[in-house]
Amino acid sequence: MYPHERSLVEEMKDQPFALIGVNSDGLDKARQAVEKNELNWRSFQDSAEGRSDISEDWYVQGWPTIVVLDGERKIRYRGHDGHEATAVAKQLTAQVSGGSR
Amino acid sequence: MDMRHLAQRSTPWVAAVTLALAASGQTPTPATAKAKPQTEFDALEAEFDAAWKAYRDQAMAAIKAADEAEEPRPEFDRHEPVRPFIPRFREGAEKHAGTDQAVPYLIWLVDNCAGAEPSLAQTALDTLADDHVASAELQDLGRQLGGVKDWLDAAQADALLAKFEAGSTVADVRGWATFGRHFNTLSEAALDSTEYATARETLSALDESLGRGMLARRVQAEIGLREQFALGMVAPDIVGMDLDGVEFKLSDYAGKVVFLDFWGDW
Repeated sequence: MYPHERSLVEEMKDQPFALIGVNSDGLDKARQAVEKNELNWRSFQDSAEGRSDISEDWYVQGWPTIVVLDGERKIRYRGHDGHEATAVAKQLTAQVSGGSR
Repeated sequence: MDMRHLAQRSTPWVAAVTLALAASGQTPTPATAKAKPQTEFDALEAEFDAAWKAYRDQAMAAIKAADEAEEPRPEFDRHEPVRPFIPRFREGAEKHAGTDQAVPYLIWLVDNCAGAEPSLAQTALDTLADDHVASAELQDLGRQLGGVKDWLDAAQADALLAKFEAGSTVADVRGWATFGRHFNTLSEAALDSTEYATARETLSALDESLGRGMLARRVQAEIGLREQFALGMVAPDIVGMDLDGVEFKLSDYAGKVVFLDFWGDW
């Protein structure tokens, strides 16, 4: 999915849209993946000392999991299908930009 | 190969591999680990595992080759390596009918026929419930009971599961039977219904040690997903560090559509 995500970020860069990752690898591995695959989005580190993992708080049970949130952080999609998630996100983004113009 | 890509497409084959991997995680007990001589069953199971693994490796290699060539993926029937073994496991179950020795053969039939030949799986499960419900050998059946309603009519499944819930001497089996009876309700019933409340209460009461903790984890996750992460609900904020160690928040993106991607590089 890297190419898909990369081009999605590129395509949507001037719109009210953000692709945010939550990375569950160790930091070294994650940084390598970013460099090697020229990943162009920002990611949270899933694990940090002193608190539970983000994926645990969000009850993620399989990777990848994608959650699409609207401008009010309401959940609009949750699942494992990158293409469906993309379609939902694009439709929402069009609504957000349509409403603000 | 980018395994995320594989998982994303969710081909039946990938689902099958995932299932097989999940199932094999439960039974890392080859004959050597049991510290007893290899039984007839162990030998047959080892033969099946090898055949299955060969088939899987071949399929994964073909999928990988197709992806690299950017060609459509070949299709695989995950039941193909199972079919030739079905008569042999049935034979074992019949040969030892009525004794504990039949139990592993019957469990294998439940495990492996649910997709290919559900009627055979059902017969095997009926036999286990009627002739072997108190057997101490039922341990490996546990997890399969959790998903019986995925392939068997709900009322029939419930009647069968009730037998294991009431009659098994194995705590995990009783726990998985309870899980199998109520989990669908927990997943599907309206949040404000009595059915949901009852299923929630029953399943939340399961001991945390059951099924190596998997039962309680799945129950808590389902409750969390339904009550905090359903479509239309406002997600919690995330305050965390990016990969450069700089703090940022999900709420920094308020007003924007966010595609939140839980990822890992496989």
